[in-house]
Amino acid sequence: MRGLAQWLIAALLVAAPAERTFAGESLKILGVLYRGCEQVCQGFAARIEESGLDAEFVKRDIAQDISRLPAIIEEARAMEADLVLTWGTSVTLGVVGTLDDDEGSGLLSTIPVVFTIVADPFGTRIAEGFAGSGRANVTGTFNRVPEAVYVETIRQYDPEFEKLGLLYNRNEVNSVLKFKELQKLAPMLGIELVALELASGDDGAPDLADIPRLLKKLREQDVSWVYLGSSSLLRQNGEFFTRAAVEHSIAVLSPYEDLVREQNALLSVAVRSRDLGRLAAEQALKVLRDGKKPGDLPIARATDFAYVVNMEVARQLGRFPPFAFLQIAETVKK
Amino acid sequence: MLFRSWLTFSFVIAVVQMVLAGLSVLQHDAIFSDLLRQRVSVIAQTTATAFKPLVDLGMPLSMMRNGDAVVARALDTDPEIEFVHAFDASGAIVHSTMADRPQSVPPVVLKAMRLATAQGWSAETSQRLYSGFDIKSRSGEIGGGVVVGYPRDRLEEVSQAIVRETAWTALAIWAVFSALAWPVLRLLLGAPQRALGRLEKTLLEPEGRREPVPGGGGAELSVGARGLFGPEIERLGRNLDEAGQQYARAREDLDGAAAGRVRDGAAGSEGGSLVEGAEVAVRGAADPSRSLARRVATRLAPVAALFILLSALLLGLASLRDVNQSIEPELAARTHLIGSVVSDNVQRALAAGVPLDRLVGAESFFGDMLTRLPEVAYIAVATGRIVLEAGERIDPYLAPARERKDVRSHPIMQDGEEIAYVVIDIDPAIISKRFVDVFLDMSVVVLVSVLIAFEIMVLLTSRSLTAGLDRLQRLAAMQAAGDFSRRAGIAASGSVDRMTRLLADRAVALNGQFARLWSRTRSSAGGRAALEQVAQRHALSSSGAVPLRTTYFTDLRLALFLFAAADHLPLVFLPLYTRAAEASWLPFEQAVLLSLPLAGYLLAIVLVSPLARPLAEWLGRRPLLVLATIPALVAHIGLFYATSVPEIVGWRVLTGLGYALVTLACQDYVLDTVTGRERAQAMGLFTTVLFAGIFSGTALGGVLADRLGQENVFLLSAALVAAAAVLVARLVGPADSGIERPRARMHLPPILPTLRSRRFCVLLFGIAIPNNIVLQAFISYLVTLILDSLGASTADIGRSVMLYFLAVIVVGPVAGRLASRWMSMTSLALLGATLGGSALLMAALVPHEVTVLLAIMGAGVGDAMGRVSLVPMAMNVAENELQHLGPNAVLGTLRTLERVGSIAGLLAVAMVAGQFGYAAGMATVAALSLGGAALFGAHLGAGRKTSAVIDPAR
Repeated sequence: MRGLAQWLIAALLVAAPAERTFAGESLKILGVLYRGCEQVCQGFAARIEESGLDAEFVKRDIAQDISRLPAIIEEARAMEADLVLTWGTSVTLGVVGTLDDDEGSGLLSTIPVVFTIVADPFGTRIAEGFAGSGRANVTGTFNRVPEAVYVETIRQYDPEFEKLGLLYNRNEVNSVLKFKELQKLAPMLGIELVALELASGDDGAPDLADIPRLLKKLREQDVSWVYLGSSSLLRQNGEFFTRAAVEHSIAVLSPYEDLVREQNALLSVAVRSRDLGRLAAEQALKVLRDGKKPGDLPIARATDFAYVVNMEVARQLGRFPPFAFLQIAETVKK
Repeated sequence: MLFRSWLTFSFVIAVVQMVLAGLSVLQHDAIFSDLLRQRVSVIAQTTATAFKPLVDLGMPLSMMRNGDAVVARALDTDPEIEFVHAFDASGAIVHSTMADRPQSVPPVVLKAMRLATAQGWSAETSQRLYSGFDIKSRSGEIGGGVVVGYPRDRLEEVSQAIVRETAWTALAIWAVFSALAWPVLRLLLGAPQRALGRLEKTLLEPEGRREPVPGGGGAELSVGARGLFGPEIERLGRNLDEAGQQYARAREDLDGAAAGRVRDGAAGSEGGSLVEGAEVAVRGAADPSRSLARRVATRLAPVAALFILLSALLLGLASLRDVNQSIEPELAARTHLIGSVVSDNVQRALAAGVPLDRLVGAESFFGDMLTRLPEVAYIAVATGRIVLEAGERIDPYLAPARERKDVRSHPIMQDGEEIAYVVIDIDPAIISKRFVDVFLDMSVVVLVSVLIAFEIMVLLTSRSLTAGLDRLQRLAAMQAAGDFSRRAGIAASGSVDRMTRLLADRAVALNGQFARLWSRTRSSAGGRAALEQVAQRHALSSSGAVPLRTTYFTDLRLALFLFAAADHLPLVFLPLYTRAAEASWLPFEQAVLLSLPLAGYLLAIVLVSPLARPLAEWLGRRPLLVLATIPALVAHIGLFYATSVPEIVGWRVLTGLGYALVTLACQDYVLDTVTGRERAQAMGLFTTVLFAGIFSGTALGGVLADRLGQENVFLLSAALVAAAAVLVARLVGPADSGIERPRARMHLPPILPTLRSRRFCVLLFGIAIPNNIVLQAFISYLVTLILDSLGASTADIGRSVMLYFLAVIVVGPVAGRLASRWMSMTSLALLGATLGGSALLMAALVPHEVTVLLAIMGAGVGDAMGRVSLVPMAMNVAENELQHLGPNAVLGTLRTLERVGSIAGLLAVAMVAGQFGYAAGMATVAALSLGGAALFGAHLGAGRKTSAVIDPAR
């Protein structure tokens, strides 16, 4: 009975925006962002604009401070947002929680929410599965390939590859999750995982200055590849991290393509960030324009992955991609 | 006679040229289409290779962002390409060069992919050619495929050029040979024609002014009759003269009887009897081997064969030259394409910023490419020195030029400058094998055209020339013996026919006169008695002369040939046709499923064979022959429409039924048309024609399926069966030899009593059943599937399977002579089984196109040896320890049991093949064959000690 009531409310809410559009009032989309409006956010905004939907995209950047989320949730309710876009695992968990959270938790349970850049929406129990989130007001995108794919990609690039390095920080849920996942996978994939934890500074936050030391340590242990993914901190400091890695003759593989295109990671297997933003916008359009219920929508999987190789980094490392790899890889010469 | 013979020759040469020209064009198109598809497959293959890393990672193809760019590269290598699609395992297109990307690949592409056992596959429709390549992961999982669509324009254009070329050549050859035939025939038939003309003149002259008949009544021989057929014409002349005298005598007798006088019957007919309108056929002339018709036929046959063969060889050679000229550029284009692909790949790597000497893994990349492109022996990139290489170099004298007018064939450019070039060495052995293949293909079509033309020639010569002569001779011989019971209703269009008509008119007149007198003397008993005496003397009847019935095997030959060919046209592609049919709900493994149509066909033959003879007696041989073609006709049409395996099996059962009835009825018909001492020869002829049909059907089925589509071949089969039925209905007379034969009843073969004989069992299980298993499980079943899995086209498969029948036809007579001179039948059988089994074992251990070909030939040679020795050995057993059963029952049981054994063997081999692969299936057949040989050999060894061997020589 409770479930039915939830559905009815959701249905009413979903139907409401359409009425408002007819009344000539703009729809309101609230974007809850972790570190400003980067490419995903820009792709989202561009697609919404292209679609001709009369909607206002209001951006709220939490600047990596998740304590700001309750206030933003309140704002969403107050402004009667028609849809909320959540960027990243931490933000999404803070806005809609998990499948196990009940209604009284103060999270958004009626306003439609589209999540994106969530590395593992199913492991974190934000959503049930690809067929649907299992929650009336939630849908989203999925943009990752299984971790095994990254390992196999390195193996294709470098048949000698045996040890994978990883730096993680305890302050980020995702980072720890990734460490545990890779720890479990490594023996199955026939590799050794050398994972080192970033030391915390005086303020309890991870100490970025520790990165070169850890990379040196990895190099000493014959690690020639390091994985950079599922860590907003490291991503944010990608330039510093990847440059340090190259200096230590370590190649960086990352699911973040911009780290290869704009910084010094060697290789990525990823979707273009802007494309992912556009995919999230498609989900939003299905809800706002087509009147679909978020809970009925499957989680949209990103396609259009590519291997991107930074040839300048390859030259610096003296590790050119193998011939077969070059036949399909996109290369950049930054 | 001369003119008609020339017309026949001319017509048959036209037929051979038409058939050969048609087949040559089909064969050319098959070869060219294959080459074109192979060339396009290089593109499909290299594009698929680009996607492989993705599939290796377990990622769907759709996840590749630059997939469209990857497939579009193909368009740069060949602008004629219509489209390239990369699609996932379900057939959904994920990347395409087409702007409005279709949802999924056409069903024909999915079907070709599903049915292919090799990674590369192709299909052809009326609009375009498709060449595809599976994208397989390291673990062998198919993640999708790449298909390249290529317009048929190029094929059509080349095909039309070949059609024009071949048509003109054929026309010229026909004109020359037709013109040549006239003087040759004139030389051959001119003298007998003149002699026959003189005979006619003499015959038609009023009695008073009659010249002496050549050879007749002690008169001098005419000059013309001394020629080629002198003695036969002389005999005919004597018969005609004697017939004239007998006619005069009969008239005299009838006149006398009318006047109440009765002459003594001293010079009366021999054995003439009063026949009350019954239609009694007359078998061959009193002495067929000396008849003029036979002599003319014997003389004409080699000349006809020579004309057919020479004209076919000439066109064959011309076509071979044309086909070679046509495929040469295509082969070069493929080499060029491979060079371009290599150069593009290297350029792409260089463009990405990798220095030429730092290309990692390029050698293994090209090494992989070499394994998939068998004709490429060596790939290298050189700058003056070799930078990277894969494969083995070919002797520089044999390798193709790398430069043309100082321009590299495949330069590698960077920033507009040539920095290196590609070296491609093509293995000359593979290329010459391609030309040898073309030569073999053309030889097959020449051979088949010659066989078809020869059968038509035999029929036409018989109908237009020798049958007329034979009729005249028979009537003359009968009337010379005082027998006027027969007439012949024919149009008088030549001297032979006019003479025949004169004789027939005489018979009609005498019988008419007799009938009038008979009715006039109804009341006078004495008068009737006198008339009866006259009637007996001259074989007259009150109901008039009855038609002279002649039956010749030649009337049936073409029909039998066509029927056998029609039956065997689908042999080589039937397993593939079955594999493509719907069978998802059947609880059988695929390999077993594919053997079911064949098993059903054989079972029908086993079950129907005992019924054939009683049915023939009940219906008559000719009606049975015509009726038996109906199930075959219906079955072939049914097979055309069949979409599921049970349908195919059902129709094949019906085909088996038709085949058994037709061949057995034919066999009986042949036995009925000849007398005892000609029987062995006639049976030999029957087997030859049957095998010629089987051979032609098998050889052509493949190429026809390749060009016309498998299902359409069934329609062609149906048309051939219908043609055979029409030929039988129109040409074949009721064969009632008057030879007393015991009334046939349906007998179940005496299985148990025969199996009690150890020697019979040794023969059955040692030689007969293994030989049949080789034919059914290997030749008719495994070969197709194995060669298909090795990437052979149906045309290739047909040509390969044909080798088996060729070996049987060629080796059979040689083996027979061998056995009669140098070795015993048992040794021959043992040698055959060992040879066949060993060849099969070799192919099972090293499955390769060449070893399979050797196994096919080995099986053919082994089977020929087994065939030759089996019947004498079985007869030996039948005449000794199974004497009480009679040779027919023993042979019949042997045939039934060997077929039953072959069905069981086929199913067993299919099960093994399904479980452990085709090589294991082949090994099973080899084991059965060698096991049988061992059993037979062991018995021989034991028999030497106890002298209880099977050898008929003992």
